[in-house]
Amino acid sequence: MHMHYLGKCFLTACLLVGFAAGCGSSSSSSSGGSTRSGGTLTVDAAASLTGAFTELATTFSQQHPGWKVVNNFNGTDQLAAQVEAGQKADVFASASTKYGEQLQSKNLLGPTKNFATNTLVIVVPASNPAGITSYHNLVSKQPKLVIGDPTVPVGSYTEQVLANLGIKESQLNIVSKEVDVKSVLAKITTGAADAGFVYITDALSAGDQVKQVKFPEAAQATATYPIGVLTDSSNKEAAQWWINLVLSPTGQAVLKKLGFGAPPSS
Amino acid sequence: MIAIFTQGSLRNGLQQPGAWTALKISFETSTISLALMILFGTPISFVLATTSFPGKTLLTTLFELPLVLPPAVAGLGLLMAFGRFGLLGSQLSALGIELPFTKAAVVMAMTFVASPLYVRQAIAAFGSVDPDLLAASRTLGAGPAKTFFRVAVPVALSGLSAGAALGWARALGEFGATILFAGSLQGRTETAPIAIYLGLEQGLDQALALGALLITVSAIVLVSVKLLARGNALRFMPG
Repeated sequence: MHMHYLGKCFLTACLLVGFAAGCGSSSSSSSGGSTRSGGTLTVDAAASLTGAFTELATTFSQQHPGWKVVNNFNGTDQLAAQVEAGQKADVFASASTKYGEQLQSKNLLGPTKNFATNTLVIVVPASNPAGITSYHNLVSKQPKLVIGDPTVPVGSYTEQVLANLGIKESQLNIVSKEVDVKSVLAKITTGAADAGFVYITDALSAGDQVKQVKFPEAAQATATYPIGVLTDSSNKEAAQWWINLVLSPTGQAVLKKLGFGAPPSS
Repeated sequence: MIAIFTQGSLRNGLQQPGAWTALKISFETSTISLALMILFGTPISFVLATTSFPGKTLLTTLFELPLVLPPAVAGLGLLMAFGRFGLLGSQLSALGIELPFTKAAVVMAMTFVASPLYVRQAIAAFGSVDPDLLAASRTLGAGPAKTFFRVAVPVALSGLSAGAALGWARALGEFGATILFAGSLQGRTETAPIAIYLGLEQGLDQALALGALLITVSAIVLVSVKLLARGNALRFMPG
């Protein structure tokens, strides 16, 4: 029948379009430029670096006229998967040392330097519907708690913090394990959940939409951010300029302003 | 798609502990979602296809809008409507209903995003039913309900089935609206697409394996629906 045929066409078209879109996203943009006078630098950066790296990209273009920085922000695990799948980029800046080491072991990433640290904080909606004032309330008041899935960095850090606080998962009312830290934050800012664990930098970026609830420093899990040049980069020199900028007093001041901690001294 | 099969191992995917749970939830929720689409979408499509009234174009556009909306926007919209601070949130919580983070939320996200595919197809299917056929049925004494069930639906069935298959497939693949509105918890709201996304961390292999599994099962269901539709279409073919 006629409709049936149309249906088939539509389905085929959907599959083709979906496939093409999938291909497009995996082979991300990169510069062909071997020109030293200018070009485009592609930076793979953890989603939590969005604010800082966007600001520094402007500084970079001012310092090196003719050069433009394209930041590819994504979850660190997604970035690592993209690089492993052959995505061409110049710099890799992640929210966990684990993925850097993973890429280094496959010879995809050069030596790295740690440039920042991040810590966790409990956030609640500004109206604090469950009345959370201390981390003890997570157990005593059984608020709807949202955390990151243990397979993503924020989730594994949350697991560490909970273990350090002596809280078992079975004592909590966990309603969702999210795919990234931004999803955790969205559940709090929209009031869908009562409490969540996010990076301090995300809590600050949400402004007065959320309130922070502190827990003992001793229980803190520190996320270390490494940065390095990708082996496949065709702009190794410019990539090093970017890393120098991030490590410079200018770069460090921007990171500090947004809530990041100084890199570990070692 | 071929790449997913050559690079991943199906057996490996089946051995992943969360894989079956996620698949089960995906099938459960997408099937309920399909049932809702058919239940409400079929009569609405029939009315939109066979009558004309002021504001019809506007109404049709409204039904089609989720098709072009980014799923993240759809999820945010659902949260803004049904979440605790949402438009209907206070009324719902007064009734003791909290939708976010439940299976019902997964079904709602799927239905919202996937139903336009079914409705569009159903409108086209009903639109191609010969109006004389419907008029004849009415002249012969059948009421509107009887005409709908005994004439319009059987004649349009092949188009309706194709629409249902598309709608179901879209619901099965739903990710963006689900993650925002329903979150993800293994055994409750973690669907197969979310498990695939999270599986990326454990290594590409696991994600590829689950992806291959999802493609296989979807293909089997789509083919069965098509075969079923062809059989029915032959049986009800007028003349």
